[in-house]
Amino acid sequence: MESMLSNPLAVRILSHADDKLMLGHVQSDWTGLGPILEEDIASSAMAQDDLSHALTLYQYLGDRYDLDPDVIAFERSAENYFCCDLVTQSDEFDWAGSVVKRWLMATYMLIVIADLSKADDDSDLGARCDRILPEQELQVLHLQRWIIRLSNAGDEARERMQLALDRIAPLAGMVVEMPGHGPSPQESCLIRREEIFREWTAGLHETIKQAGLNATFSLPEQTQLGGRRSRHADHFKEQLVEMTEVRRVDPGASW
Amino acid sequence: MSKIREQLIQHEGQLPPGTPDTDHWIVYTQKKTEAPFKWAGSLNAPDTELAVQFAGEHYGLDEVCTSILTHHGSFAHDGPCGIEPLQPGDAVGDDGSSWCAFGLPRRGGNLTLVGTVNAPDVDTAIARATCQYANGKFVQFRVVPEEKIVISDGKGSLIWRLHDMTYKFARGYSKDVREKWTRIRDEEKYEDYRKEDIHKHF
Repeated sequence: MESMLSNPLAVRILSHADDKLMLGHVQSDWTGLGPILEEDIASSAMAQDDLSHALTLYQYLGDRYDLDPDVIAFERSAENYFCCDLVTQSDEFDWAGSVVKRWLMATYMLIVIADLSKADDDSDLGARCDRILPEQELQVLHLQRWIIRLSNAGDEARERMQLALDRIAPLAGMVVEMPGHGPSPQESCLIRREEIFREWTAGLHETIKQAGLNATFSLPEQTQLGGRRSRHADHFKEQLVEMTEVRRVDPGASW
Repeated sequence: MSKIREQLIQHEGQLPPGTPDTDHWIVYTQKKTEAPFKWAGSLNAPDTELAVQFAGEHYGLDEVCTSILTHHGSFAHDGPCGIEPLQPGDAVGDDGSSWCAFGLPRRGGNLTLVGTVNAPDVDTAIARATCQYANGKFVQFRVVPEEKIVISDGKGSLIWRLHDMTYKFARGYSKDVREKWTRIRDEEKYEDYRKEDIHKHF
């Protein structure tokens, strides 16, 4: 585990997998509570996709570091999870908040997974990313459609979408925080931080314009520390305890 | 107690009504590239784009699905449903616009896309579909204007996923599942459970 946690590329992959794991876990809370049956099914299926994407990245790391993917997913201490703060942020069962959060993350993940697929001369990693990408595109398309439709659906819907965006946008920039414990993040393979931020926000603004909404995203200072540097909020720790409950009750259980 | 459980308690007895601001769409799925589209069900959606997406998520993930065909419910025009298979009749012709023809092989069966006919109106389309495709095999025909049909073949927007989806398949009570269950239940109890479960769900 230690050698994995000290390798910058492994930590970067781990941070993407952790994003997906927590996103899928948190979104699954909505199963049965979606605003309409069809969206309930669609968003639950996409939460399952997120969990499967996490699994395929954990499997990649597991193969390289001789670790069981379930051990990587469920048996790390909280400070060794590198998910960003946005994924674990509660939407308080506000659908607008859920849509905005997932849209921001889906758009970001599309860029970083595409980037990761080219990052290394590694056909296994490339193949895994290539399997994730079409599913990620599906999520982006689906959530963009919701953003635009809800924002044009009348005063109340529009107001709720704008409020959700106002609440979430200031936190969103932390998705490009450099992950890991290393003292010198500039040397890590996330050196394209600014470039990824620009590409990501340019895509966001296109949709925001179509939706007639307003949002400002800013790139946080590198001195600002959050989830990717193990400074997790309390709600993450609660979610982690809940998510790993079965694993702790019956370690090594399989189904 | 997790937030999800708190939320359920708060909303007990206050579930939202129906599905507002949506229309009714009918969905057909194609399980293999060369297989016909068969009726899968219907759904509610606010517009065509979301209807196609919902169709994929709702009906395209139960088993492998290569394409989805969707149309607004109001564009479905059904002919009379016979008890015996329909006879072809003599309504031949090729004028008018194109209609997709769906045949119902038996009452309670699934409508299946059988082809297209050209016709100037609904009644003629049904008559020509019957003439062209009945052949003693169908008890009813539905026609839908071809221009109102949307087909998603999964290339532009994925339907069946690329990751391992075998967990979706109902493989029944395999040897592996039996072994896992009998670790925590004795064989007799497990067998009773299996029979009851199959009886309930199949």
